[in-house]
Amino acid sequence: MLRPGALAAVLLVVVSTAAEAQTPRVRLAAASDCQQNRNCAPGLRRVYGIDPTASLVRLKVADAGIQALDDGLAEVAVAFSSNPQLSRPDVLALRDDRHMISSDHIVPIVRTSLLERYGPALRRRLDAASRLLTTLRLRGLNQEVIDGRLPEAVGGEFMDANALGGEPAHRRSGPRIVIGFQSFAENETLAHMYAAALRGAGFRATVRDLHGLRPKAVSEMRAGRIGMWPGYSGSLLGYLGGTSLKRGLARIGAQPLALSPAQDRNGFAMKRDVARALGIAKLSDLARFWAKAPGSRGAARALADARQGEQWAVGPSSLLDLPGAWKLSQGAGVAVAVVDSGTRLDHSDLAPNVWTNFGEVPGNGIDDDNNGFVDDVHGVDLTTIAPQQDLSDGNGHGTHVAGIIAAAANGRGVVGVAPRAKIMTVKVLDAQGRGTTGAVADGIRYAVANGARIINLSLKSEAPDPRVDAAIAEALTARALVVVAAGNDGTDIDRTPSYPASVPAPNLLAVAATAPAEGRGLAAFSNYGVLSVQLAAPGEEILSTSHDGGFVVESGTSMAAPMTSGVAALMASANRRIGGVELRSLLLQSATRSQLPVAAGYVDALRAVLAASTAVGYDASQPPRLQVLQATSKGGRTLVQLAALGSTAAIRRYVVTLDGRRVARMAARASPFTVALRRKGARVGVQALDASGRTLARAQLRVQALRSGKRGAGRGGRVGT
Amino acid sequence: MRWAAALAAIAALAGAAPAHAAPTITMSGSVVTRALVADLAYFYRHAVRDPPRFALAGGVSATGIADAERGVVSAGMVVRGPLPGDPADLVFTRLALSGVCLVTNLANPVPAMTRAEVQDIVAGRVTSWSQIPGSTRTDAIVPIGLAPGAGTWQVFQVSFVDVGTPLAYAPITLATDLQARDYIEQTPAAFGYLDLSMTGAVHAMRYEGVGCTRAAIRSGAYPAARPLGVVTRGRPRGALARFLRWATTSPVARRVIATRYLPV
Repeated sequence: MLRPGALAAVLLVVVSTAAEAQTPRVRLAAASDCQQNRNCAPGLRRVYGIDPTASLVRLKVADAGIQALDDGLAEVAVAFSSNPQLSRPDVLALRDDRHMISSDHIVPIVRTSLLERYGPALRRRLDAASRLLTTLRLRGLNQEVIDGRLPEAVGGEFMDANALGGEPAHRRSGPRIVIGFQSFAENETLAHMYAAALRGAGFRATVRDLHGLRPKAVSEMRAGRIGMWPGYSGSLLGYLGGTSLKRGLARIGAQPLALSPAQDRNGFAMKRDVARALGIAKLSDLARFWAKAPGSRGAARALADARQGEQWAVGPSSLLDLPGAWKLSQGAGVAVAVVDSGTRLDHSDLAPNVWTNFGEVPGNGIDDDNNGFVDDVHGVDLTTIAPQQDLSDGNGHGTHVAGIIAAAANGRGVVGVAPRAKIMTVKVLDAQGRGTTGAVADGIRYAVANGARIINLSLKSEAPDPRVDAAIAEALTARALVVVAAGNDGTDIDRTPSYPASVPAPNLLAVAATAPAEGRGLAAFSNYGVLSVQLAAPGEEILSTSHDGGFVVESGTSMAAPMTSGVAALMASANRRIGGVELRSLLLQSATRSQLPVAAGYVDALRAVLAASTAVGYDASQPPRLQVLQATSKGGRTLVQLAALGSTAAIRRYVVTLDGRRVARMAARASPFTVALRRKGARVGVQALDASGRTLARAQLRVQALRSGKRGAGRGGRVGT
Repeated sequence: MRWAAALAAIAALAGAAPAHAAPTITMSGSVVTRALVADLAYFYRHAVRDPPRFALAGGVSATGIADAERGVVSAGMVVRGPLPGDPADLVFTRLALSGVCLVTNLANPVPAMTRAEVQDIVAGRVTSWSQIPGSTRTDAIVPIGLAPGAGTWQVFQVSFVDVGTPLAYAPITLATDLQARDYIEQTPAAFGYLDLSMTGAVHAMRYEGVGCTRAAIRSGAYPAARPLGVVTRGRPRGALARFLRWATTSPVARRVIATRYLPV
């Protein structure tokens, strides 16, 4: 990726290829070296018996293949495996079912005399750096450079974040190690990455541009002008000839060190909809097209529910721009908490997308999963302190909001913004639409503790409440996004604050409502504020699910907030690694600018999902930090919820202690996560360790006795829709 | 109460570090400036003892300003100077200066354009290179643009497009300057606009007789200059003030800035 003059553009417009319909072809976009590259045309001829020459679209820039797909210039493209665009949900990497493509691992090539001079310490250090680098992480580093960062800072920061960079405890004597890089961004980043790792261990290292590619690197190594460069194992072996990279490099006085798991190999990619239409999933499928007649280009089937035509907000003319976004993501795997008046769970458009807590046995009157709530199978009822959960919606507001977010695309009724997301019902409003801030705070905590990545608050309190603010801050730590309705008073909330919309938090978005038909104008009732309201989304005359089992049109910023929550769910599904702060940032920077009195503009689903699909949050490049979100005990058991923040690449295992005694040890896993201990204690501690057993981060917290999760129900100020 | 919430949020953004931990500088706003600040933060951490932590979130200049004004972050990151409608208590600290250049492919080195010619292209009145003096081409102009809201797009709109010019052309819209640069590098008939830092592999033309050069931008002769900087509510204080002092005075910071922009 990012090889000479690399191109990694995301086109935001679609270039029509309708003219091709009469003579459809399956064209291959590749750099001109495809005809000589054994992983391209020669390999296809030799291994698959197909010749793409007649279908070749020659690219001037080596890594411009994905853009050629976007442009409709080709149906298949050669793409390097470290290209971040390959992480896009609409791009499919074809399976190399006959193993034509040789592996091409990142590998430090080091002068033999340096290895002899410094001994195993040099090898160990470089191997440790290489081990951290996976293809996905390399894509992330490349994306940071595409986003405008310096390769020197990106490579160095990656080592700092994983405890291999920084200032050394002692400096080593010996010659300076000159690391050369081939003249493209990825190689420059890798050179700086290895340099930072060496400096962190006390070696003296400098980095310099070789002003050339692989041949220049080989000649500079042979001439003794560099001590090391980041090579690519397969293509370097192809260049040197023979069957052994070690023997080939011995001829120029160098050795390969351990291969990194990361690869930058040739691959073949297609747009998923085109691949599906043509029935192509693997390289051998191309024989059908290149061996005989061309195929045809198809388009993805659009979602089409019965009453979708009445949903102006999801239509093609709406500024929300959903139809394009649905080709990239439909929200699968993301739980959205609807903190509202409950949900009609058996509604035909909602039932397929109801969130389920599989740790709870329905109706047994027991808190099976020890989370403080009895029988919370699909959510929780915080309108009462009674232990049971009645999630039914006596008001209708929550059911309507839930449908906007995630009504299923089942050919019936309406379709939600994220039709495959799951709805977690957090009931805080009664049949009259009234509740308390204490319940809202508890509801946010419940949503966070049970895995919701997005929390929708289509409600408003009469006054601010620090309990709600604190709960939003806890959601921030757990990397959840809170989306709030701006309010329906038609006022500027920069002057007259509205809560919780006006709560200043980096994971909170306040949303104003726009009116049909395009969603360009602000709805007359909508609150606004260039400082306090970040976005605008459709909120007037919105058709969605009704608590009577049918469908109903409603208006309000209560409808605009779930539109935004749904888009956030699409984004979170497209990129599982990004958290609440990043989701907010990406929604803001991808918004369509407007003349409306809001900070960023109109929510644009397509741009937001595209931005999210390859995004790398800044926090992911920072050193790891641990936080114990909560630790509770009941009987002889302790439940601990943990979050690992920052870069987790170097974390190999976690060790949990109770009162200083080691009680659990587990492999690295996705954050946040919960650990159940069959012991009790007063203070829980946790450490994150790297492969060598070194502590990278630690945290601790006092254990509290588990109490009912409904302590806030009925307390605090009044809340309503 | 709002302050309490803001402080709690900022502490949580920092991962709720223990009390003895280094302070955290939180910023949000323009992603163009974020890339520069992130690089400066990396070198700053290596330059000082007990450096602060940084938590940098994206957005656009307007949201950075809003977050700074509301106390959501320590500072907002911007790619523009102060405007009349900005909150009165904001203090702008400039980190770097850049400019937006009109560019073509290297194979089509159009020497210059006038304001009138740019209006003709944007209004769709001129669609072929044969209508542009100095071009060696005769095919259709392929206009390249940035997504609306991007800092470079804003500068183009404000500095090159008259208010009365109808936007009739349909540029191929890309998300970042880097992507636009690569597209123009790849496309012989391309016409677009790029940040000065991105013009190495494309042809930057004169505009109204003034070259898009560092010297012209520094002197103020070139009309489409823009500052990169941060905004704070009141004067920067504490760890943020120390970082900004380093960023605007240290030779290391100047080197980092000079890789892409003009140090101030």
